[in-house]
Amino acid sequence: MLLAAVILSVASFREAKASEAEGAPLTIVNAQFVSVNDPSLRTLLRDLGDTIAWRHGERDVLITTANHTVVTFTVGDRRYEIGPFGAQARYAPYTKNGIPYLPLKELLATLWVAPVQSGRDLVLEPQLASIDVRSTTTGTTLVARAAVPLRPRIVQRSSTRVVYQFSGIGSAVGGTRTLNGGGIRDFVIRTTGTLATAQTFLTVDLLAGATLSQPGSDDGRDFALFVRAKSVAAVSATPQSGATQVPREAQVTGVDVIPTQESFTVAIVVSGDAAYTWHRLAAPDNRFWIDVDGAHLAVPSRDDRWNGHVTGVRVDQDTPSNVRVALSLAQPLLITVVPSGSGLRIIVANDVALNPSRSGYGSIGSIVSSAQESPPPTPAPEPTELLTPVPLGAQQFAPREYIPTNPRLIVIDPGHGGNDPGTIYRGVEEKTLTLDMALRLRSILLAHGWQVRMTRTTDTAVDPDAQTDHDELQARDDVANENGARLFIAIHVNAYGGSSIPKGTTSYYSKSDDVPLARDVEDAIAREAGTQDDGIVKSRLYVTLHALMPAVLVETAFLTNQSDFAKLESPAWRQRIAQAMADGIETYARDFPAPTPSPGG
Amino acid sequence: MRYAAVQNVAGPPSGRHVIRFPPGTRVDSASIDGSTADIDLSNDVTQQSGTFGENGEFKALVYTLTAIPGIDAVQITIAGRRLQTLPHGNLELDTPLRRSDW
Repeated sequence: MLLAAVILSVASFREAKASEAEGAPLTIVNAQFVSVNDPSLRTLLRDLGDTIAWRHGERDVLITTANHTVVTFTVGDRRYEIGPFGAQARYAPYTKNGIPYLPLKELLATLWVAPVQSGRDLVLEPQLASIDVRSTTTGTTLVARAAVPLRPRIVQRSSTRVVYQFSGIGSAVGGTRTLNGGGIRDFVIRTTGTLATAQTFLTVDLLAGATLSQPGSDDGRDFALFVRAKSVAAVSATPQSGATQVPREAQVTGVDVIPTQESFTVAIVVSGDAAYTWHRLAAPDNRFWIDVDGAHLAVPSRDDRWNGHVTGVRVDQDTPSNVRVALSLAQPLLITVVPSGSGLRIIVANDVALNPSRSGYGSIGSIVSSAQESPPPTPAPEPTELLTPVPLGAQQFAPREYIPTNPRLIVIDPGHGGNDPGTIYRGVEEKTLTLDMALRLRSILLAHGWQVRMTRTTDTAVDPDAQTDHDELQARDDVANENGARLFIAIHVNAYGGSSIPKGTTSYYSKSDDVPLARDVEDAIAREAGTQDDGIVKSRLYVTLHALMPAVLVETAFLTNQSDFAKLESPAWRQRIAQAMADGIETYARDFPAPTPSPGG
Repeated sequence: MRYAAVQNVAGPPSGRHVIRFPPGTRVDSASIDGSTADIDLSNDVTQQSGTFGENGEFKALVYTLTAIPGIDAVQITIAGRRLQTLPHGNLELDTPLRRSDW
């Protein structure tokens, strides 16, 4: 497909130099694709606080947004990832002269920037990307988001109206929305000004007696407004008028809530194709909601209260074409959205999320997301009466078999941390690399339906009170042992002070139960990550020896070897080895199902 | 036995690419208790930089000493103290090391 070249300019990002930016550095790009080396793209990313990582000859291009979401595009693959979530672009990225070209529309959408035609130019304008409203009888929470700091300014204020102005951004959302409840009569979003001087206004008309507060946000890219209604009026949720509802392609035919000790899962059953978006509010609000667009709720709406980490689940037809499932949370918990064969699953782990992403999207149905590629691990089969009875004597003398109380839980242990940097070589610290690879592995495993616990998620010791190295290592095993994990994987970076020659990946193990896991992980890394295969090695390493379950300590590569160092420094390679570790774990899990308790005991 | 331990910890002449204990590591004492060799290493051994070296050094030492008739295990102490794990490392040291650990 040949497309007309258009001009991409970066306008309105630099308010101080708006007039200069208007005629600023221009680059010819293809209307559908943009080169990763495109100067305008680089400028755009820099202005947004995003970074792009790509190494010559590699297929993955990684963009880390200012809110810590990693967006991964892969050459030759229409699927791309936004954090742990999959999506599909209209066109796959390709390379020309070894340089990747990314699909422009999808790239810009992930960056919350809109291409706006201006004469012959295509001008990029940061957008008010979403506005979310949650209204109850007691009040309304209104949250707007953008890729740039919003810097709201109140330009009009009375007892019945407040008008906010956001300078330098346009809006992807607009129009009037009438609430007549929760303290708000309606609100209007409109954009004025030229491209270089765009102004977006949010006008909120309040009901009598309403009061409002505007809490701060983490980084200024969220704007939140809480409106408290005067009194708790009896405004019941208006039931949807089924008679006038036009039947739609997608229907939400069921919402099942599955609370367990380890997690809280909401399974949304969807027939037909639909896109979805999700959002979450920062602590202390912590609410999470997912909108299934173009869907009709075919079951009654509900508003359940729960005791525990998840305190409420609400399902309703938010707009005529939009089903909303909203969760109230006591803490900012780790949430995974996984498209499944029957729809979507929202998995709320008991872990508190670190810098959680605030929003994401994907689709269900004919558009296949990467998360669907690997089926979620099948639950361990129920013990059946067909099991051969084991003679009592044999049972007594056989080595005691480990039975995970949570066969879907994987514990990841990023080596070192806090005061213990591990190896330091050319200013690069092992503890930083191990945490990075571990977080990437976690994202992949979560997206595949596993539960994951990390021994640490920040640069810290696992047991800050540890008196000895031993205590610290035992604390890492405790995370797995006390939670009945299926398996334990420690991630390290190798080094050798005596020579720069040693290189490659070694998977260390200690117990006979560890061997198949070490073998599968090592093999996957050798196959996918391009390091030298140094094989699996038995050793008396503390963490593998004292983990009750199958365990492996992966020495990913050598900081002290030049070619390995380059790999370790590459975010794309770290993503590759994380993917390889995940593949190895899943091969192992498939071939070695978790043992289940025998009928007798 | 002491000679074997000292030679092993010192390693072959420089210039050969072999896994070596960290520079300066000394055998401060070597004795035999039943079938266990008690080896006290100087604190230099804690200057580790990676599992590769750590694993290889101790494996070599244990294989060397347990090749001596009558010795089947090696108890390591560092600067006179028995430690549960190798400082800055991953190896467990609180009970005697044996060939079966590798």
